[in-house]
Amino acid sequence: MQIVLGNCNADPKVVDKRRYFTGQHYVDVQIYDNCSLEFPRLKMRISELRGNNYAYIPEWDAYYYVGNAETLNGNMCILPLSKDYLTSSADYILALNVSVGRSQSKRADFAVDSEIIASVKNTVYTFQFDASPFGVSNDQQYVLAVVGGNI
Amino acid sequence: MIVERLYPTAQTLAGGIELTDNAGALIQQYGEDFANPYFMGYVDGNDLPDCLKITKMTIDIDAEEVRFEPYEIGAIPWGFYATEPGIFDTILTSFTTIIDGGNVTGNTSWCLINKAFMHKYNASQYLRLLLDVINTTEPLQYNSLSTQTIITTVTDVNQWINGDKPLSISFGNESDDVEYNTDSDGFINHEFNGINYKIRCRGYVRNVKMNYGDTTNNKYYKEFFKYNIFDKTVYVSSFGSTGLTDADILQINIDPTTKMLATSGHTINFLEISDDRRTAYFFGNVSNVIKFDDFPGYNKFAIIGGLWVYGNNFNSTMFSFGFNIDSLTRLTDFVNKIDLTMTTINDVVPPNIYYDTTNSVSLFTPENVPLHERVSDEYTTIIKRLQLWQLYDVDITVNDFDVEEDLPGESGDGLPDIPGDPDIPDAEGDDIENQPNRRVSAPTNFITYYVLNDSILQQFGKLLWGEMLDDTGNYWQNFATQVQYETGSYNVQSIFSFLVSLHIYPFSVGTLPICISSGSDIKIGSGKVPIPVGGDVRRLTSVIGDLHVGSVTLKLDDSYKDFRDIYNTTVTAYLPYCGAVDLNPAEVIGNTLNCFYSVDFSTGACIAFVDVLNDGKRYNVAVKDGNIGAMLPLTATNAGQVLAQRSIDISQGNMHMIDTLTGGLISAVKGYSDPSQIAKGLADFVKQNDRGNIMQQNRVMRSAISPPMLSGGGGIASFMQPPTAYIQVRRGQYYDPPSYEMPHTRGYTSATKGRLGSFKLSSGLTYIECNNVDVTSLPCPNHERQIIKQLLDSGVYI
Repeated sequence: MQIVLGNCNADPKVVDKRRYFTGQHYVDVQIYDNCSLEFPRLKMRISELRGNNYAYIPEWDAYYYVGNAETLNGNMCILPLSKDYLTSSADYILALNVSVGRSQSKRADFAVDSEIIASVKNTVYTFQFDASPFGVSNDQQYVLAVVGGNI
Repeated sequence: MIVERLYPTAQTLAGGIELTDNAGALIQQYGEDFANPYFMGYVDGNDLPDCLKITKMTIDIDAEEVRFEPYEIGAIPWGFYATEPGIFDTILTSFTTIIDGGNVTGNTSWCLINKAFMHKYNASQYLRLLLDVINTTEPLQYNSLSTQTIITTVTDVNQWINGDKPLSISFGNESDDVEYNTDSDGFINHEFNGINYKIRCRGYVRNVKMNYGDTTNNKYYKEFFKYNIFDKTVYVSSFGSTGLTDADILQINIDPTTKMLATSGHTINFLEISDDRRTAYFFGNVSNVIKFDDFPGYNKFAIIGGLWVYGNNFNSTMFSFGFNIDSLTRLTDFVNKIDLTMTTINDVVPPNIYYDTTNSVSLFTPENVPLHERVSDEYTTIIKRLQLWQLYDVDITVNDFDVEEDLPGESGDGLPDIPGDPDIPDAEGDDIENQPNRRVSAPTNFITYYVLNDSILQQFGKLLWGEMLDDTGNYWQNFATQVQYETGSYNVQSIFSFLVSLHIYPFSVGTLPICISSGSDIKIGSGKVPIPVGGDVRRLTSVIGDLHVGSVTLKLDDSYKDFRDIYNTTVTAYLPYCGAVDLNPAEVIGNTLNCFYSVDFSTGACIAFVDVLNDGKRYNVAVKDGNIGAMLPLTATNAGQVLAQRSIDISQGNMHMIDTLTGGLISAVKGYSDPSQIAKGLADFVKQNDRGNIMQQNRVMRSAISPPMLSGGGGIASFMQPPTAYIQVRRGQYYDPPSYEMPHTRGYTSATKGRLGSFKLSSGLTYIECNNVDVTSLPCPNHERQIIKQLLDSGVYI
């Protein structure tokens, strides 16, 4: 069968690495021995290895990281692959309805962020009530209470 | 006429380009009244560096910022543009407004969603301005089927509170299509029970008859509104006609449609459904904001929320629901109108899931069309439009009596003003919670409280112990006679039984609103013989008075604008004579606090109240009692001895009250032969204290008066405490962790939900961590799902 080999320099945590998948070229391969679909071992020509680190297998519609190739005999080699679960299901993953704890795009400003480091110091602000009637100079400060009087 | 320049001119543009004052982006409003306003916004591109054209306006709702960014737009000329909708479309299309990550292009009246206006106008003004601008297209025409019936009357003002105030106003009823147009002044005039109501309701109010299906059979629903004045709630009722038999599912959409601003995550709360014979399913409390860019080419969004009502035969049954205008106000920042649409359920969900749509009712406005993308001839519905104008701020003026003090949107606490009320600022339409009972105004029966200045006090003392003791004057004879008459004794010592107390306060009591002028005499007992102290004698009309201490806004200059302003922050109010009290930083940071003291002038006790204006409401956050009046002893004197001796030896304690009051001062005046000097010394002493010399005097004070206490304590010495009420905020300091420097590596605390892909930023990779994501929908083996789940929960980039 044919697979697509190429390079992908995206962080493994990138869900959809397809747009980072460059230098793609088709390579004829054979499945070597019994293997899982998640960790297939493919037999192919050494000459087709071009320092590639990423692969796509159209038949299985799955993306793979390329492992260390082992020479087989002559000009052939065994290419071990490991499945990139994120990119292989990227469209479905991006459609998931999720509850998000942390994100770069939507910030809960007033939720406590455990990532932040507090200092023992603090900043002191002083705000004064603007009227502040106390202690001003005035001359009507006495209250004399008398029985009767001007009631 | 340029009413006001609304936005600062010096702006830092994206890319670090600094606009000078002359090159600033201006938003101005022209027109003085609401009858003919329009907005004009312009940017003089020629003054910009490199002639960049500012065409992109970014509105950051949370930060309440409007930013202009340079953006090359090629051939579109630059200059002066008005944004009056429908007239200057050219410029409107040249603006791109970004709202919450979604783009708005095309016919967007950008000025309408410029929140900067909000800072300068109150809600009422602002709303009216907006209403006039946006009210551009009507009546609605659609597929040549549109009809419109003119409403001629406001048919019902149906309820009253306490028999004299309307509870709600219904526009129309279930039997007619009605429309009421405002007069040239923007009022609906309606007479009810002989009272003329003027209801400010710019634009018009319409009921609607929603025909459905086969219009020739006149099957329809009625929609009509009722606006509850007091809880600002709009109730919408639907009433099936007799021709309606089997319409089964209604969806009511609250659809603010175009020209409104909202962000995702807001909710609309439905309050009521009145018909228990129906099964109502709320998909309210869910706000699904369709962003502008979801429908390219249409500058609209809609909030699909509402309720579905199931059941058969709506004939002559009514259901209604309400939503709180305030929630919509917050939702949109300003509510211009509310379009209520009723559609078949399959407009939003696939048919055959819920119900057959045959003969269903569908009412929609053209604004719905891009939303549902169901513009087709299959709808035979007559389209009408429900418009509620300015329901947020319906002003009602009842000519025959004054109800202004209790109307929503008016400032005031709903209580009649106490004369000279310290005028604590009220928020518009605020609800005051936990406020003191301001009606308490203990009358001064039996006791008269005179408010004296130092010279009057001095004169009073002089008369008591000086001139009154001089038996050569007629005054004394009269007074003595009066004393005898009132006490049965000629013993002048009994005079002091008329003196109840003397307090000194660290503020001007005489200027309080509860204080009135009382001539130039002090009267005791029956008052038949006034004591002529001269000057402006004042007295209290209430034992309890409010002292306005002022307000303060806790705006932190270097605010983080996030949890850091509150977390690890302490807020303490220092209230003279009451002490310190801690406040909840979450309630007060960034808000305005008001403070006043209620003072009991009979004892000198006081209670300090601190309230906050928070989210449109004012409520109490702190109460602290204390003692603000220092008692000056007056009794237990051997006045009879004073009378007999007609001479005074102050140092012998004949006048303990003065001795005690003045403490060490007594030694200074010891030996004075003129007793009036003692009273003068008293007044001078206190006067000195009042003017900042208290530190000099305090040493001699302490021996006689209680030590200074921040919380008062009743001693004059407490006057030495800091003379201002203030608040200290101690905010924690934080290091900027990597996540805040590089949010793409760890993100921020998010706490939200949604489709994973929707969290992606417009450019670059976006970091996101999920919370226990449900991966059961992934079409892959379970162990792969678990691996993916683990990856998503530990953080990925999208």
